[in-house]
Amino acid sequence: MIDTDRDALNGFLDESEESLQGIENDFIALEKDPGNLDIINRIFRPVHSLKGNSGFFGLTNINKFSHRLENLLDSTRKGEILISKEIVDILLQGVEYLQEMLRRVHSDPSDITFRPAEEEFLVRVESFKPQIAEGSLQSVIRFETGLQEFLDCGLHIKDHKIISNLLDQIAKTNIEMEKLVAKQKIPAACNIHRDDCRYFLHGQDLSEQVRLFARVANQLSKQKAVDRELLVSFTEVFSEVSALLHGNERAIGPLDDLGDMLNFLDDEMVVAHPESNQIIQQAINAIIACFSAEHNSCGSSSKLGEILLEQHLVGKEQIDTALTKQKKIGELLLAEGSITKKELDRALEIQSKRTLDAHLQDAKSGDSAKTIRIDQDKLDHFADAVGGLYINLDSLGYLQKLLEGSALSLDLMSRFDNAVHGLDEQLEKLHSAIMHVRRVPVKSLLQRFPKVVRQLSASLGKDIKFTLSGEETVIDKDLLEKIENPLVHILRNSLDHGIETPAERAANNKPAQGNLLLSVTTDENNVYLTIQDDGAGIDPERMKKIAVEKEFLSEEEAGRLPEKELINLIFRPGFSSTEKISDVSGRGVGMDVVLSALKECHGKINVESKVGIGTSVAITIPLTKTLVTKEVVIVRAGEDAYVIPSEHVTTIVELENAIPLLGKGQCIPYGEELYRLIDLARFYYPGLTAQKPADTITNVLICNDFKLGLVVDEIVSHQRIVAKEFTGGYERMKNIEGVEGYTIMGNEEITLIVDVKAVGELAACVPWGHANTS
Amino acid sequence: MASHLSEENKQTMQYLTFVLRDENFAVDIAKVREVLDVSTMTKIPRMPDYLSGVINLRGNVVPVMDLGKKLGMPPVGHSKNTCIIIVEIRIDDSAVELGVLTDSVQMVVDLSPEDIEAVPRMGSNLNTDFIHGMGKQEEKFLILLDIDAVLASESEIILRDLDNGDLAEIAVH
Repeated sequence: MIDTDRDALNGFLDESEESLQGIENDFIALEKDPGNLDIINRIFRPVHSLKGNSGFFGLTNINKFSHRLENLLDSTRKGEILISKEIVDILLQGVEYLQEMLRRVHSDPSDITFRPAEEEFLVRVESFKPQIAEGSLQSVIRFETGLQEFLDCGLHIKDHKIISNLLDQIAKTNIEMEKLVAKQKIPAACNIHRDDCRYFLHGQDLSEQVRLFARVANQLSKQKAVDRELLVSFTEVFSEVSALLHGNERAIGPLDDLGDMLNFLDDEMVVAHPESNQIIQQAINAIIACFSAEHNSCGSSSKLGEILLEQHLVGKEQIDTALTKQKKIGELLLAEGSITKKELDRALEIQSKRTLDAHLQDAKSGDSAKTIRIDQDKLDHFADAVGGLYINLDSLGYLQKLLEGSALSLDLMSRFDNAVHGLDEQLEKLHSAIMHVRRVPVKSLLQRFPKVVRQLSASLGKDIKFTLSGEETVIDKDLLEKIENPLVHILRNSLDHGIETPAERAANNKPAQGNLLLSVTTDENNVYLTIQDDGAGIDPERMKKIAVEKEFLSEEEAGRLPEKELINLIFRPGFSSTEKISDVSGRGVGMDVVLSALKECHGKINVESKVGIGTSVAITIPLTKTLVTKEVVIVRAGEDAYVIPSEHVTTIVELENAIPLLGKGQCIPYGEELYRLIDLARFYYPGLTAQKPADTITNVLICNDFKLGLVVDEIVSHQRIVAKEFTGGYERMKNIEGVEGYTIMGNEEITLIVDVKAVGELAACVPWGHANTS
Repeated sequence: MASHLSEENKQTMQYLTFVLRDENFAVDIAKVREVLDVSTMTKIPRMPDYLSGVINLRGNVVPVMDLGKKLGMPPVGHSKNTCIIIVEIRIDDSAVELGVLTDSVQMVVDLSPEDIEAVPRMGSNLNTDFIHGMGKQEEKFLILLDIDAVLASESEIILRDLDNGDLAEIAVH
């Protein structure tokens, strides 16, 4: 099946990578709480579905690998292998290998071979043999109890006869099973883990239980069906249906659990007893039919038969025949004489009422959260189109101004105004809708960190408890990408320089385990990130020493700096305070990178530190309300108009006392510093010679970020624009030095946006006395 | 060049004729998207001087080239006849729109293969790389411009620019 549609494959790869990433933290949780079946099951699921799906795509390596891993997981889950650090390491390693294989397939779908390391790993996995033999029996019993409890909570609304009937069948099976147990001399003293079953029955709604049952039927029918392959697909289809219904991996979990237990039951027991198996199956079929009303009320789920048909697994005829065979539960029971006609009618009445209620409930709740995956590019196009609308709105506004002076009737004018106003409002709505669509939970980023922290702390020989909070916070996807590096840097710094080794901590009367906390919160305007550790803290005295040693400051200057400023020295480029360079951090890059990354998203950072107590880094980033528009200053320099993003403009002053710098240009004093002056017109057109009249006022836009003063001839206006980048096939236009992009103004003219940073950098190429002598 | 022409242009083709510094030019009409009056053009700094600027063509930014300067002739002047021919050419499978500034646009003519002659040897005042052939129309000769070649030479220039190290030059100013 290698020639399966590439899109489907990519979709599968993406999803698998995502789900594998999602379980990494579970491993770490598992290590702390080895008995927790919930966690094992959470890990089991993605591996299990990876096994199934990779087979479908013909990815034999991933299929085999995940199968082995699944076996190991299964053994741990049945208690045959006890969870140890070693096992966690192996599982974690296995998941990493799987991710690696997925990535390889991503770049080359035909690459389905193992690497030597992976072969070795498989051998190692094989070496873990189950330690307890009765695990299989436990599983059977767990299933049985689970089923019973499930029936207790799921079926009370229906005729009780069905339940007792089913339980009878189960009991029969159980007797058969016990016989088998006796025959095989498996120790019968097994504990029944009622709690294990209760968990997956707890808190589910009816429709979920229907699916649970469908799954049961599906699994059980395995013995009867000749075509095993069809049944494998059957299982897959079912998990897909569940996924469709919930868009949520968690919902599928309970299904899988019962299914897997049944699966085990199939293999171990029931195959030997086709008769009892058949009985169960009939009972389950009946139950499915009984729930079919609810099942159908779940609008987004397809009927099983339809799906099978879609996938060309069975013919229409087969399904129709099957359907005629399948009687309604009421009729079945009536035929059996278990209920009277009257009872049936009453039950049917109740059923139809319940169905209606369920419908209403569905309509009311409205959060049957249907999700779709969207290519980010498409979303960007969408945002782009909204940007285009803003330009159109601008032109309308411009027209509106022109019309004001015309002889148009007042009535017409006000109608025009209203239309423009209405458009403006709708556009705002559209804009904010897009902004919401672009938001994703920070979880997708944060969930990577526990693993990073675990690995780093292990390699540094530190014992660290890492706590995450606020994973459900949603922020713009772009922003999420931008904060990744800063966060990693800060976490690394905390791990490497902040938190001490257990021995050091003990010496300072601190608990051996260090604490590292990362929390994310938002309000309407900002996202707040806090990284807190209870490590050694930043010692201002040491900062002072290093600053002087590395000649960042003179001894006298350093002495004058307040403590806070000394701590902020960590943000200076090239300022690394560790004496030795580790591969974790301490290469003198890091915190300055953090600072510049944060500047990019207009974030602020504040470091609080107390020696011996710990460090807290607080980051505040504004949630960009406007995705496509920008606050700008429109200026005229020479003959041309330019757009300067307001974010870079600290203030605008008149040019009065420029200080010449020995033929190397001029500068202007601002605050306590001298800012280099750049004549914008001459920057772009170096050959420009025209002199402006002596009596005109020259404006200087002070750009604090880059220590620049941009000299322009006129400040035209402050306004919002839609920033665009030069695209299209004409290569030369894509990289114009000192130009960030363009905007189309209300009068339809193209106006260039000044790339202040680039202008500053290009100008910085000129030797400049002041910077060197300070 | 002659054999190339005979293979490709078996039948009559249409050309748009225009004037550039008293010379009559023609360009394959299939490449021409539209002809515009010169509207507001935005200069783009730090570009070769034959690149006059960009115009807003219904929301798209289209670069405009001064064909005179590009061909090594005096620049196109500004008169009421000055106009921009928007051509579309393909570079590496993507369509590129480009404006060509000319002194005036004349008309559309039909030229059959026998009306077209190979490029004669000319003096060094005209860059013949971009010329496709000479079209004979009544008493006049038309210079058939190979607009793809004009732009193809663009990408070469860009590569050369990168080697020159423009940045260093700018820094000195």
